[in-house]
Amino acid sequence: MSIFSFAFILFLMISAAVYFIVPGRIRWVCLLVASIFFYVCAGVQFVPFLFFTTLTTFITGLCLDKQNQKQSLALSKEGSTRSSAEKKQIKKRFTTRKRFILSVGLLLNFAVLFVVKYANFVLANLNQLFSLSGEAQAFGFLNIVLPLGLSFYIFQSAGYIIDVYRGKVVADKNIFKYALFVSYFPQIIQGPIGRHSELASQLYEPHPFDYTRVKFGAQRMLWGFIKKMVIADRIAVVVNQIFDHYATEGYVGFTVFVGALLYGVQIYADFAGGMDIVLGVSQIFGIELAENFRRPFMAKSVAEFWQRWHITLGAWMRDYLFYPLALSKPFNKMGKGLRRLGSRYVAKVLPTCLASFIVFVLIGLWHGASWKYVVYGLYQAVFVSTATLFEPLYAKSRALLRVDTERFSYRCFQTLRTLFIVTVGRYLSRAASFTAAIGMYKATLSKWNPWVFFDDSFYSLGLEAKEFRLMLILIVLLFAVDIMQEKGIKIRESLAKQGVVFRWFVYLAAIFMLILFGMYGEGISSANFIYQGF
Amino acid sequence: MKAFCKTSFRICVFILVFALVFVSVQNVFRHKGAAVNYLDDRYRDFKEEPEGTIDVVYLGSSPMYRGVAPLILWHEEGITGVNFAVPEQSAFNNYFELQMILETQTPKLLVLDFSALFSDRKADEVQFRYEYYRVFDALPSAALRFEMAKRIVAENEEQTWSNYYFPLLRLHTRWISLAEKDFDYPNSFEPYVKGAGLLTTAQPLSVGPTFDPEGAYQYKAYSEYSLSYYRMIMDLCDQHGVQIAAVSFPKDDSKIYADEYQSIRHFCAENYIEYFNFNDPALLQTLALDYETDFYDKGHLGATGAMKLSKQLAALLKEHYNLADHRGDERYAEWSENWQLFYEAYGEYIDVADQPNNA
Repeated sequence: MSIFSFAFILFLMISAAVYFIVPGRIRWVCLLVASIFFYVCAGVQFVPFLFFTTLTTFITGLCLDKQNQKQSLALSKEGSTRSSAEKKQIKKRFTTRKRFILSVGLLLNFAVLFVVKYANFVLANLNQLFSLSGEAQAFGFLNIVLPLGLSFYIFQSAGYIIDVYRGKVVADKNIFKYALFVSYFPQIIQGPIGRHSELASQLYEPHPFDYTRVKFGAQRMLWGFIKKMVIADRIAVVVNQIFDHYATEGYVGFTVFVGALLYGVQIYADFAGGMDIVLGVSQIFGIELAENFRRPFMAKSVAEFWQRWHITLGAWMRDYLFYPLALSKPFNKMGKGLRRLGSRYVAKVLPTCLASFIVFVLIGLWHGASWKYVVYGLYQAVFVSTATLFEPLYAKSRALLRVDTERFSYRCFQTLRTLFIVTVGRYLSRAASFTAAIGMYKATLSKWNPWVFFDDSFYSLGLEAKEFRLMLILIVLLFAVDIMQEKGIKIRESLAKQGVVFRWFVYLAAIFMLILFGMYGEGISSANFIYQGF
Repeated sequence: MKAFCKTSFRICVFILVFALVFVSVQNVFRHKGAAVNYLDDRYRDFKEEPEGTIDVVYLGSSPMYRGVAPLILWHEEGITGVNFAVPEQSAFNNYFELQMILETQTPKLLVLDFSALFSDRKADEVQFRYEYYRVFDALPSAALRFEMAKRIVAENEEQTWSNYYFPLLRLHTRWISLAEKDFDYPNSFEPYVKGAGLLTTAQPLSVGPTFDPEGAYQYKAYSEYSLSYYRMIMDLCDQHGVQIAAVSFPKDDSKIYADEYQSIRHFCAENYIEYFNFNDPALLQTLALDYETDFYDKGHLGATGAMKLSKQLAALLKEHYNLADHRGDERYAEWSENWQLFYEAYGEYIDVADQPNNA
């Protein structure tokens, strides 16, 4: 069931109506039934994957929880009579057991993710290696379609069992409630990746009907649909034209760069629009999901960009990969070793930079199984790591040049610099392949052609003049809203305080903006989100 | 409770305001006039015809639309008729047009060109979809529109109710090309022409008539889908006592269409329908067409050609069907007035058509 269909709106209305009508103690059941129904509509062949993850991580959680309890019992029983060495021994024994259980749980699920998403990538590379030695293609490819939301619910479930392992959460004892946590329908398409400690209680507790909350949720959904169907899908026409035809049409210089810039806006509007819809739907039910975007184009550094973009993935990577790596014994040893060689600062920072590299390569690969995504991840890591590594040098340079970092002009410079760096990286994520990305870099640098901004050539990139101008106006609107939110203006709340005529005018304008300017209908497909493919 | 009532009232009023704005905006975005071959005007004008005064209705595609001038049949034989033909029309749409006609009229004769007999022209095929939209949008009867939408959705996988009941959702991209005429549209189709779409420019034909009725031709396969709707048209005519006549219009190098004429002739013979093929030399010569001036293009008659054919058609229909001559009947006084208006508009073509031709 496409989220852009009347069927979804009807499904949502019925689900919400039933949710608020049934007794509070079974409202979570309504959500579970709705989630299962939604997932079955996406493709009944994908249900076994969801079921497998739910079952394995539920059982893993229970086993880990049991070990946690046994450990607590063992330590508390006659605890005062045990020596610290004995206690350490007990902890080590349980830690080993828990690690084993956790490893099995994680391995089972990440193996599924690996096979479904990355097996063909590995096989293709193996075939390439074999072909270098003159052998014919050794391995055939697997014919597997990526199940809806696979990456999202596996990451979410993996986070859950790691939290249980760490003792941060108590394992769910009710498999049906746990199934709701895994399959909650608004977030299964493209996140956000939720934490059990924040989400579960909200899902399981009943929420009363609140008109203002439902109204705000619907408004957020409307804005999400506008971002996706009016803005993102319109920009996609130009981006696709440039990226898919740059070689045949001979696009060079600024034309290609503008394509990459627009792709950044497209993917932001697409993904953030999807998040608005997801969070809006959840708000209707009284569930507050984590924000996944915080005005990333306002970022003043690449590191800050990744703290504002796909926030929940970044937080997941930070909590479950980066910190365990950076704080691990091998990395600590590395740091100590480096301290002996020279700068204490470099010794302190280099291991975290290395952890950062690993994390960003995985973030790159999370986006897709291709070398271009590996390079994309490395590209991000270089800027994040070097910014940290060379910060003392940069600080000295700024002091030497008497740069006032609080000035508006400097902050503009930082923002534009970050935008430029991120845009250059976009070539890698959008181009068809790494080779195509290199080709596009070359095309960009091959000609200095600023006249393309004035000679109407942009009007032959798939959108005619009126449509192109509308696209630009919509991009301005998108960032105007972002700027207002960055300044702390709560738009929905501010609007709610205005007179009814003004409010209704804004609501009707937004609805008709979607109806009249939405990219839907014959010959246009706005069915899929970009991140749905992950 | 008070708050609940107040909120519910506000929601209802908002929905009402939204619906009003939606309908108004939809009205602006709707295709009008020439873009839909004036169907909206023509259907509206037809509803205003006094009940039971139309004896002949013409259904088909562009050769019929361009080739039959009902006012000529009125002038020649006092036969009242309305031309509902429209370029590129499917049997499905003809069926619903006939239902619309029969709501207010009791015609004696239906003249069909069976042009859609050989292709499905289903709504799922993108190139034919607009045929369905233009008829649906113009149909005045809500019940007919409902039945039409129900059938289309049932028979086509990609068609949905919203495609039909909310035209704004399929026409929203028209914002790019909106013009003054979309906001302030007058009824621009002259009712006195009774649906005829006469073409006043002419082009000489390169080949001329080539069809030989005695030739050995293959039969062109019917479309089962279209055939089913033609059968429904025939059943409807049976129920209402309407006779059917089939017509094929003159075309350049007509032997190209011989397989179609063969199949139509066979179909008509099987179903006891009189078939007038104006490509048959025996009939063609009665038209005395001038191949330099009487055609708009290879497949369509120009205005003078249409006048000639209409004149001959009047004689044929009078001969084969028991159609009343309403000239002199006060109930049909308006038709005489319409004839005056028609002559004022097309007199030069009527006069040329009336001259003897030595072509």
